[in-house]
Amino acid sequence: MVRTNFLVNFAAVALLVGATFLLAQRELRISQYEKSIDNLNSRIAASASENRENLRLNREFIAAARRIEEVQAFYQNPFVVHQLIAELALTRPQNIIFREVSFTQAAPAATARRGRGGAAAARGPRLPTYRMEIRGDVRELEILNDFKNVLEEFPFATEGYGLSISESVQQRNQAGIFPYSIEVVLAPES
Amino acid sequence: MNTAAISTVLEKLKGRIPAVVCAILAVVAFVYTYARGAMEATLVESETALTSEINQIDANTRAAAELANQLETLNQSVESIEARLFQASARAINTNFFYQMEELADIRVAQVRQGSVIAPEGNREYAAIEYTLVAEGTFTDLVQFLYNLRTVNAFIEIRTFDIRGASGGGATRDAANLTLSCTIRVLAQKET
Repeated sequence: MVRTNFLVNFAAVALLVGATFLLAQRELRISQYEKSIDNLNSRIAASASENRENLRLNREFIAAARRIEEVQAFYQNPFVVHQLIAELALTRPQNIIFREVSFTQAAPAATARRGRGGAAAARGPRLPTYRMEIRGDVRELEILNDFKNVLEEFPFATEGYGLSISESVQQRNQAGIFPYSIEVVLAPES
Repeated sequence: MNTAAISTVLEKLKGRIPAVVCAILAVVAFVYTYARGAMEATLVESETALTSEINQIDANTRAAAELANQLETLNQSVESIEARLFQASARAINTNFFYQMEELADIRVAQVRQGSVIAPEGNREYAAIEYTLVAEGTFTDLVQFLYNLRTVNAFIEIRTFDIRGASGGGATRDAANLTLSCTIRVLAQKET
């Protein structure tokens, strides 16, 4: 009987020791977390004003950068127009006359990027179509044909654009000249 | 019967009072430990959030090390840009701007027509003004004029142009008097 009581008491004490150990362990962890949180809160409080200043600088930086990007985006035209005309004039064979050179751009068409399953995922960049027309006179059609071949090698093409060149010729007039028209079209590739 | 059973149990417990006390205390300790578990979970969550906030602040501080200098440079660029913008309301000044370019390229500006003001889209900052210009001169001078439009102290994009002989002359003969018609867009301040 005495031995049984001893064993029961011993087991109960062991249980209490175990429970106390678990409780102490938990309290220790809670205490550590509380200290850590206090420390973090102090650090946050100490750097709050500096952080606000950093965020303000960052917002201002983004706003200023957006303005500069906007100016860069303003120049949509992939050509430097004066260079284009000057190079075109240098390319012109001597025995072909330009009467008119014009350059236009059609309103940009929205292109849609395709997502999975063919669904339109997002709107692509809006690219205009560029059209250049040269009108003039030529005595020999071979010269016009040679000039068209030269234009096909001309560095019009820019990334994302397809080049097409077509010509039309009227009947030889009384002066023995063929009035012609050459159209160069740079259209965004789909 | 019940009274006898209770008496028997109490009799047995008399010899095991420490065990009873310890068992009661152990149960209390377990319950308290369990209850404090919720508190610990909350503290862990708070600590994680605060650590993340501190990391973000540290990252901001690192990123901002050179930000002030960079921002100053950027602001100077923006000021320089904004000094070059047209004002839609200053129609006479704007028109005169193009007439003043006559001498630079030795051409005659025959017409300057201010068109519509294109308001900025979305959150953009700058508007644009469309102009139609007609100029006369030799081929070389007109190309020089187009070059000047590109390099002058304003943001100008040539949208369309047409060069043709004014009196049936060829469009690339320097001797001939040619007419240039072009539409341009000039970057302008947003109207408030």
